[in-house]
Amino acid sequence: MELKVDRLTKQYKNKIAVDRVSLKLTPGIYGLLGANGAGKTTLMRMLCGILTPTGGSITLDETDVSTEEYRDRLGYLPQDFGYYPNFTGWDFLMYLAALKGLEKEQAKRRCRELLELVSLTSMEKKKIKTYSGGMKQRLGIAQALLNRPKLLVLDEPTAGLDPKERIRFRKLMEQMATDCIVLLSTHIVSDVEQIADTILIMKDGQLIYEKPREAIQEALEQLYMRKFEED
Amino acid sequence: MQPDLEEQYDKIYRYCYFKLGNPQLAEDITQETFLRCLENRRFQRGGHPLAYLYTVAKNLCIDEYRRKKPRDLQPELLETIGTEAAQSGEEQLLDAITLKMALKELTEQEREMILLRYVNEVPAAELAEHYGISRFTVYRETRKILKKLERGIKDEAGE
Amino acid sequence: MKQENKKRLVRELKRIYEGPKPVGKQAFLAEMREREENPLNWPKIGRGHMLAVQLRYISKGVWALSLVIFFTILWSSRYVEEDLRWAVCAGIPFLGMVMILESFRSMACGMEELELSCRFSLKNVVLARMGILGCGNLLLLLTFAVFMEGRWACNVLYFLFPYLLTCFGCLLATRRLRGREGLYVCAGIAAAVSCLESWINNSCKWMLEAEYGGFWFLAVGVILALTVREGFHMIEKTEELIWN
Repeated sequence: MELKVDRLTKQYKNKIAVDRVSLKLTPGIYGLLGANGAGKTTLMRMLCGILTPTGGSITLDETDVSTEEYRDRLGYLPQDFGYYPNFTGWDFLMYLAALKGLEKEQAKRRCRELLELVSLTSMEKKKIKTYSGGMKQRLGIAQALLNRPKLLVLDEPTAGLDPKERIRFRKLMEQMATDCIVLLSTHIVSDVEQIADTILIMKDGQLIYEKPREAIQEALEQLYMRKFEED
Repeated sequence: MQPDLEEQYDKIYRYCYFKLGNPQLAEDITQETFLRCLENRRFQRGGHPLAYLYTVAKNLCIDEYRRKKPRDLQPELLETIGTEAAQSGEEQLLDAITLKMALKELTEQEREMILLRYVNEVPAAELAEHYGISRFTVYRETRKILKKLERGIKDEAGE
Repeated sequence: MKQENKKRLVRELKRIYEGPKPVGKQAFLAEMREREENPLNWPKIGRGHMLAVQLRYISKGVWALSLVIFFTILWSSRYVEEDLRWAVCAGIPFLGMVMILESFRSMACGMEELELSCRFSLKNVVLARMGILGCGNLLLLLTFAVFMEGRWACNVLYFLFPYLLTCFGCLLATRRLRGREGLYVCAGIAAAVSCLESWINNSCKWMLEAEYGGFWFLAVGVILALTVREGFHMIEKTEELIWN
């Protein structure tokens, strides 16, 4: 299974947000680092078919990003998301399950399973309004897994999670990585250090670094700072 | 190696039925157990599929307990034992009743172990994995329970 | 413990623990076999089902509001001697407003990014909502038109005009404005059209005479074209995240 990204570009009137990025991703965890405005979110949105590229292509095993089939194998957690005002956690998951094409009985089963997985079973009947930041984030992670995605794109997934939740998240990712392509972005280096198999660094819309974690000798922070200073 | 779905279905159903006492519920949970296990990679590749199967079933049953109002299911379950058995012949009927009495003397855990080991014929290795004990302990414990049952039957018969 | 006794005991145990036979086994096994053959195709819902789902998720408030508007129209027509027509013309803009606002609720609530990434993406959701509510409104409109005096074709035109005018205005507003702002502007547009209609139905009754039928026909045609075009633009927008 392979995600092929070929010279992907997103250009706005006065700015190039993503500049000819090429990647080949296979199952495993990819950590995408970069400063705010480096183009991470734009890249991820294009990988999810949410933004149309101005150049280049994206295919997952020959399936183009613009197809329903591609989205069928995709799970996405945006940096920020809303919810319909009176939704409970359960309503939210069931609604998205329907949009992802799961039929009712299966959706119920899956929602129950995922709520257990992210430890939100006790909160499932409560309105999302009452959730803490960390709970909402966990709910977001749960919805990304509804359709057992083959490509999981997570934008700042650990933001708002406390240390215990982060460890849980890490374990969950390790489980997913066996036959799923996981791409998670963050600007917190330590988050990615422990989980990622491969490190990607973006700067000013370009992919300036791509290497497996084990091949990197120095501490990730140092590498990052170094790359950041290089022009 | 995946366990035979057809064979294990009846066994898991039996296990759930004697835990919950409700045939419909037991079947729902049986199906849910299989669905969860079959979709789980660990189950497909791992070493002790039966142990995992029973663990999932057990947890789902426990969830059911919590969902419904806590009732003491045990007395009901004990009543269901034996009533389903095709009772042909007075002798068998007597045996069934004394056995039932003797079973009542056991703890729930002991009854469960008997059900799994002798009725469902779960291999000792799997049972060991499921309970988190050694195979030796499985043999020892099950033998102990059988002896206890035998004693119990003698007592009942003796009265 | 003697082997004989043990065997007998185990036999008895098996008999006593027989339990009832499961009922759904064959059906379940068949389903499992089907799944094994097509691993990627777990039971999925089709478009039709998706429509039903969206129907369920249209906020109860919308149905309630529509009913309120409907009954307000009926009630107010009792107090204005002849004119159910006036009541309808004045009330219909609000139905149009509610439809547009509800169709684009995803954007207002911040759900659009999530919905865009789903198999049945945002565009489907918006179209489904519009379709459901649009049909509902048209049905209401036609019902009023038929049960009113005068030629029902003319009545339809009289009603379509404010309805479409409001839809067009709200579409424009929703395209350019977000959140609360958009909501207020849409409400304002509906109110303005309502007032316009009240004025036409009261002071300019002559406009509703049969000879002006041609004018209305043209007017509705123009506004229909504009609305449809704007509608297309909006739907195009739902294919992508543009609201930022």
